[in-house]
Amino acid sequence: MPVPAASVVVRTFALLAGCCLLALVGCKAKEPIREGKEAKPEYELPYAEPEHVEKYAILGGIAPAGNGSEWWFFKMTGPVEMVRAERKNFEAFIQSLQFDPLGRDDWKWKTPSSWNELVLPPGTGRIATFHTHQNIEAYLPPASAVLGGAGSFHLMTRVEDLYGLYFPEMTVSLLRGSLIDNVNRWRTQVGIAPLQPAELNRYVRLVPVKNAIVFVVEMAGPTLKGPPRKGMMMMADPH
Amino acid sequence: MSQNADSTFYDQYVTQPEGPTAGETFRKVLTPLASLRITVVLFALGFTLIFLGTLAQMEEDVWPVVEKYFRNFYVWVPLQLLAKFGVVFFNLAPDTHWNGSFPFPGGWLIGGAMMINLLAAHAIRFRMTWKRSGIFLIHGGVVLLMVGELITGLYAVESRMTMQLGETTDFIDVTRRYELVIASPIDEKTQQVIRIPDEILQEYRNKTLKHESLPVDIEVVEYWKNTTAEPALVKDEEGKETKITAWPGDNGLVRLDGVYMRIVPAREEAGVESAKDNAPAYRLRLKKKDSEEVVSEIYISLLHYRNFFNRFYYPLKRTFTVNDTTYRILYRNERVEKPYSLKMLKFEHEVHPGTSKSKSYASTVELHDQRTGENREVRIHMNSPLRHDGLTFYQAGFVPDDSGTVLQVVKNPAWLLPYIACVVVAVGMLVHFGLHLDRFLKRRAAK
Repeated sequence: MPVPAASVVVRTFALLAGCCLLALVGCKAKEPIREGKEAKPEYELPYAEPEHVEKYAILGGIAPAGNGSEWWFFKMTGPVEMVRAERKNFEAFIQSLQFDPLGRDDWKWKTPSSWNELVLPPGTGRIATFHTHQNIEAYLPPASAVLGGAGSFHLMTRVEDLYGLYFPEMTVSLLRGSLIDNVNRWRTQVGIAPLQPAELNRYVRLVPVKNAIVFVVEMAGPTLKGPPRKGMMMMADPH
Repeated sequence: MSQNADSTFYDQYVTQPEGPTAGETFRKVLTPLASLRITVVLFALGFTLIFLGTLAQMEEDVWPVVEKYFRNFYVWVPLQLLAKFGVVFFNLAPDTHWNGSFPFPGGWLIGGAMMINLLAAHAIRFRMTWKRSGIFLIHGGVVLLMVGELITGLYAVESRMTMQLGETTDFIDVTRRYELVIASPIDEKTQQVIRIPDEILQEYRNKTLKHESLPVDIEVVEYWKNTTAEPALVKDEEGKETKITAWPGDNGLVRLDGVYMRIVPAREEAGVESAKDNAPAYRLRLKKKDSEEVVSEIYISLLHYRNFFNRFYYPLKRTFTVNDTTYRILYRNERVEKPYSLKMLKFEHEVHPGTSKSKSYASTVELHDQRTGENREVRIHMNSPLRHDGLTFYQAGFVPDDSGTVLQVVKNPAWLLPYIACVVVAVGMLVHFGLHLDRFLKRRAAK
């Protein structure tokens, strides 16, 4: 049974509809330059540390040796106020770093004038150690003034023995491991919760120096575990 | 037969109107368009285009080829493509190089012409009868398939969402669409942004872009279609590269394991070799407005955008300062904000026993839609995507150390059409061959 044929005009309309559909191809408008507000993605928001007791602090610079396995550590530890008082010197020290990737003289730096580099006995695992010269009397009970000049490691150790205090110490060392492992190792030392990988990018600040990048971190917590303290023999650098 | 004067008058002025009717005119126009010869030629052109498009993937990534060859009205085909084919199949010398190119109709043109040809044939040649209903259904299915591809080509959007554990994200990164962003902070959580689509930067290659909303004039000095990151090796005293790397400066990245990487120009990703997207890069000279004074010269690649390479690198923030305001400059995938967010709760990565080869991935996310108050936990894994607000979220990849997920986010208003078209074509074939079988059986029974 034949189906009634649609008129040619109706059929042609179908054809035109098809052509119109094709014409849409050329109708995509070009995007203009747009201005507006935008929420920062979460991975770029500043890291907000949960509230906790802040007694000791670490200011740290972590620089990849660039070979995929070793990292250089520039770490200042000590009582929180004293470490924070050294922030400017620490930043200047980091900015002054120059890395020699071929490794003859791995790092050069400019020591802040108020720091005192110590000569370490072999086997301490450190490349360099500095003590800062701060106004020790401001942080100690009056009786401790008899102990001697500020900045001396012997004094520091004895002050720590007597009063549970010591002075900011800056160390340079070379270790293996990943960035997050080492950041979390430090966080554990000051007694605060480790970071999740997603938080690391928000936590670190990248500072380019000559031939290297330094990831700068700052943390404070209720404890300070780990750094070698009592019984370590140190001498003032004669230079 | 003789005619009287009245009938002559009637025949001349009443029963026979001047010229052809509208229907006849349409028929006249459509008849050549409905030619079967045109159909054959169009099919031949279509096959050739597919062949050339496939050859082109020896040099270019699959998506640029799709855009250039198939979602376009015409394409300039480099003769070198044919030379490469000759090298493989006709023993041409491996260094054969043929300069020049020739124009060829693109997919839109061939497809559009096929559609017109098919519809014109139906308007002119085909008569709607039950006997031919199968053919009509088959052709209807084919038309639906073509319309589906047209809508997909015009309106489908493919994008990605990258999240690490514990992170909440409310935007997607559109794949293969890029934008240059100049941002200045408003507060800790928001920033004022000026977004310059990549098409505009392309228009201004070797020119200076000036715009009232921009804090600087931007001279687009150089452009690379693709870049890659390689270890930034150091040269020793004899000038040989060692295994040691050093931070290379502006074009540097730090890999998660601490290796310094240098961004270098690379040839386009070839569709036949890799599934990677190109990472375009620009060298931009930022100048004080309406002045030749250079504020900064910045080399910026898509590799500097953390989400582009699954957060595999630590990039350095690129900034410049004008009139005491520091702006951040960022080249990234086009960002589309959504009125809902996903929070990454858990990532599962299963490997084949005894190997490090991935067997399956799954992401558990919390969907929170501010508009409806919808709040639910969803597990996205292979063949089990999340569908929400017209988008489909597929499990596509992961962030190193299994610390996060990469979801492929697809919007395709025509996603159902190919399925419907296939069913229509299948039904059409059943009807067509069923009717033939019925007639055949009836004839045999009559004998």
